[in-house]
Amino acid sequence: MTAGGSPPGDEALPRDGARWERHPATLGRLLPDGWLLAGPEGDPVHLPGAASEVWNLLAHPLAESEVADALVERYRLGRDEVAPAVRRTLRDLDAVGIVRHARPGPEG
Amino acid sequence: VNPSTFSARIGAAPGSWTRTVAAHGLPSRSSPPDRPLNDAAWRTLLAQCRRQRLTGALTMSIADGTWPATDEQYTAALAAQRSLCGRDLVLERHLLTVLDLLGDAGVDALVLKGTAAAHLLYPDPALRSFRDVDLLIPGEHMGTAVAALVGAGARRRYPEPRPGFDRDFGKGAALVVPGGHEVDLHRTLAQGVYGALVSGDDLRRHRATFVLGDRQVPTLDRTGLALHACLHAVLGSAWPALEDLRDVATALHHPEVDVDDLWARAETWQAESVLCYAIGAAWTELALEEQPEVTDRVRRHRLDARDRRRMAPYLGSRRDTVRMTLGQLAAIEGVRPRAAFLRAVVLPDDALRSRPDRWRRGWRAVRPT
Repeated sequence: MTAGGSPPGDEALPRDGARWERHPATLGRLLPDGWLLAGPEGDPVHLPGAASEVWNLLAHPLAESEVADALVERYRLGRDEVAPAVRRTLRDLDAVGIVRHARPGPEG
Repeated sequence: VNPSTFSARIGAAPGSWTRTVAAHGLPSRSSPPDRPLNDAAWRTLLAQCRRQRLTGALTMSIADGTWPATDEQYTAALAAQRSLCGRDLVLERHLLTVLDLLGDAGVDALVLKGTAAAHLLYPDPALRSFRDVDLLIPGEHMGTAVAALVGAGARRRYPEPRPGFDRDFGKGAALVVPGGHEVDLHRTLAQGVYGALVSGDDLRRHRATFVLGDRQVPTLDRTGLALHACLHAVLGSAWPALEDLRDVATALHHPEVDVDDLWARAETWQAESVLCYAIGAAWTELALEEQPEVTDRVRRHRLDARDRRRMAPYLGSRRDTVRMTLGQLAAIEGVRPRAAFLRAVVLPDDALRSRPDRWRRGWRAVRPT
């Protein structure tokens, strides 16, 4: 399965903050224990468990808070616990070029 | 012809559990064990799966519950699969860089074999790992393609025997790019007579693309990939690897591979017997269920004296590069091209003559087997 982001659009409006999206040049493989992803440089990164779920959610651009909401609902965990982990994960993935802040859609 | 006779003539079978893993996802009569393998059997299986790049099939079959395994075995299989897939992603990144370089140089390159098969023939690319990057290059672009890669720091594994050999006669050129990965530029799909019979122009007429990141990558259509899988399984080495036979079987089961068209294209290159060998070996080694549209054709096929003579230098312990070269010579049309081919083979340029391993390679080519 090739990991490629959907074109950013306006269908997913953030409740707050900037939206994140998959970097469209990311290459990937879906393994039984999570995603293995390669950004433009550096070694491939393995995303197990909830981190893999973050990548799945970013098939469409989402705000950090929306990612956290989805994980809170899916894993029945407290928001206080999930939100910092989501923030950390997004920053880490941004650092290796796998996600980025969503670009405006064709209509701006 | 009975398909199983082809297999018996082609090769030795690896361990039976490995064959069962290789048949994962295909309609096969072979069954997984009814309980996890003991440590020794598991270690052997995992080592063979690594070597044959079948860890994708192994992990998927454990994950979907068809292959019983202990937690430790599953963890080990996942680690092996992560390692192979990580390498695949690095190779795909190199592939995109190489395609950019060749595109800038005006070279019309199509992706072949592993990478294209992974994305277009298999239900999930994690099921097909690969060891290098393979590209089909028009003969007239070979010089430009090699120069573009060398200019970017790649080095040829073997020099061109004489100027123009890559363009007119060679199977292709193998280069090692910075980082140590191999890029194979193919002018045609086989050494010897079949290399001369297969038309690169015919191949390039039937194109497809697959998505890699944000790019559409050009390749052969699925029927072309299936044809190449068959040629590679039989002609590419003395003994076909299980992964090659798995490619053949996976391609022939793909709903978008047109079996009539496959046979018609093979016929234009006089390569139907090669198809039959590949299919016979795949169906036998992987214990596949009958697929009348394919297997009946193999049974009906008559292997004539010409095909036996042409294929003999490729197969098994009788593999013989001198006879392959003579076969190619016979297939080259025209006195001048034949003379040029012969001259390049018998009297290569200084660069090739002065290679320290020239005598070892020469001996390997002519030694009795």
